[in-house]
Amino acid sequence: MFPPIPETTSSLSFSQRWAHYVTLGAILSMVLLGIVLRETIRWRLTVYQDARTGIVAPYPANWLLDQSGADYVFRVRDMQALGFKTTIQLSIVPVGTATTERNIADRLAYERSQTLIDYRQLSTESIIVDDVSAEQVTYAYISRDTSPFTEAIPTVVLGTDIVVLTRGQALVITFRSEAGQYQDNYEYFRRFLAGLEY
Amino acid sequence: MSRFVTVDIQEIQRSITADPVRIMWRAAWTMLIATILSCGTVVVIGFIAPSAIPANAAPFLSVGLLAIPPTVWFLTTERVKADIEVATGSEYSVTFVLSAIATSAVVLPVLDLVISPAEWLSRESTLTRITGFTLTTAVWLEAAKYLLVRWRAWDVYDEPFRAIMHTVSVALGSAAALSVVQLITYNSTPTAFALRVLANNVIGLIASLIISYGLVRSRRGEAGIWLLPVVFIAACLLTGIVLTFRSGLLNGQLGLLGAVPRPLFAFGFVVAYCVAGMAFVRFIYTNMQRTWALTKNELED
Repeated sequence: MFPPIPETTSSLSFSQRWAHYVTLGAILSMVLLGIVLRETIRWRLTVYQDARTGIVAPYPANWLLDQSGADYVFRVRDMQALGFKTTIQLSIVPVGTATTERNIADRLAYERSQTLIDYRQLSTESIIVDDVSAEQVTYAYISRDTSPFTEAIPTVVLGTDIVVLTRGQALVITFRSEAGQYQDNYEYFRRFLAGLEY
Repeated sequence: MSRFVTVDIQEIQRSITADPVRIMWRAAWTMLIATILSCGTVVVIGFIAPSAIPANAAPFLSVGLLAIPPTVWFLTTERVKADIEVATGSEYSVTFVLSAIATSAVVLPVLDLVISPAEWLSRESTLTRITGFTLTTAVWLEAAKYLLVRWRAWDVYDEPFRAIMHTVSVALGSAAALSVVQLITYNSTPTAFALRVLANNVIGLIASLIISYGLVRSRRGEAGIWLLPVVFIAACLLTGIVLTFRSGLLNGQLGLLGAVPRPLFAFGFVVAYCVAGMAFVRFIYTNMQRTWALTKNELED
């Protein structure tokens, strides 16, 4: 089908051979540097600090920080994401002495079922976060853009709430992402949790 | 041999004028002018009267735009090959096809699915974007073309006109694959697609021709170890710079004064780069040939 490759009429000289090897080495080096640059930029973090609450949290550098909400201390969102904006949010809920993580998780589930469309709790389990017991709730709901001008289709969102009791209050760490991107974006949440101090 | 060599510059100029390489440059420019005129016409019409292009004609117009560069190139070189008595023509077509296959089967999946520079580069500084595009898009595209040429056409790179034919064919094959994938993936307007076709062909061609200079010098044994890799890195860096500035010109920004003719800016930028880039490549090739002619003149004396 293809014409035969012309036979090599002369062997390569030393400089020709090594010029090719060095070029291949340059290609490999540039490819590796590109990967390193990509990982560095993708996982670049900015630190949020709140002296009032004593919270120090790393979050992705290009995400939008929002501290204006009444029901959260701060939240960060990936505004570059198409569709639903991946969100990490931290709230503080005052608790009594007899309150457990499960109580808070159940209350959150009840509140969310009232406010989120088609809310479904997928799992509830006890976990350990930084040697501290916590309650993790995973759920799904439908996110619908309320603007009549965007004609956006509804999106299935997966969310995770982690409830930790500390110093007489409950720390609720929320992660929400479009269902199709959840596994890919979960690394952001994992790094957030790894660097979180409270 | 006389210590003082008499050099007839006009004779050297005449020998260069009759050189098949000059004819090849003319063919390459014919292809580029056809591409610029066709894409430019669509861009201008799209800017002045966007509704003048019927929606149902847009796909056919897009296919026509991406077919123009390789069609004009192969028609022109077929005529040229008869003039300069080239033995066979199918190897250049095969290089074109293999380049298209390598780009669509290997390079584009890696760039789109694995590296995805658009996801993490768009909000970075200009310097970071230049570095990012150089180390991702440029190196993958140029490496595929370099490896293909090195594997299939290394032996003929001691003849510059064959080198140019293979280089342009491999660049057009890669650009055609890029354009086809972009046509299928994005529901672009004819204006946007015309800009993509022009950029894919011009940017890829200039980089490939710069690398071909290093290949020719290396093949003829006139370069040490470092010329070829340095030329490759320089070509990738140039591509990274051009991609960064082109996307910066093209991406829409709100202007308080009203509509900003960004497609025209991007079109003008690519045309200017085409002229400057081809002039530079022609300059280094002509210098190389003058050196050969002088050396040959000295040896004959």
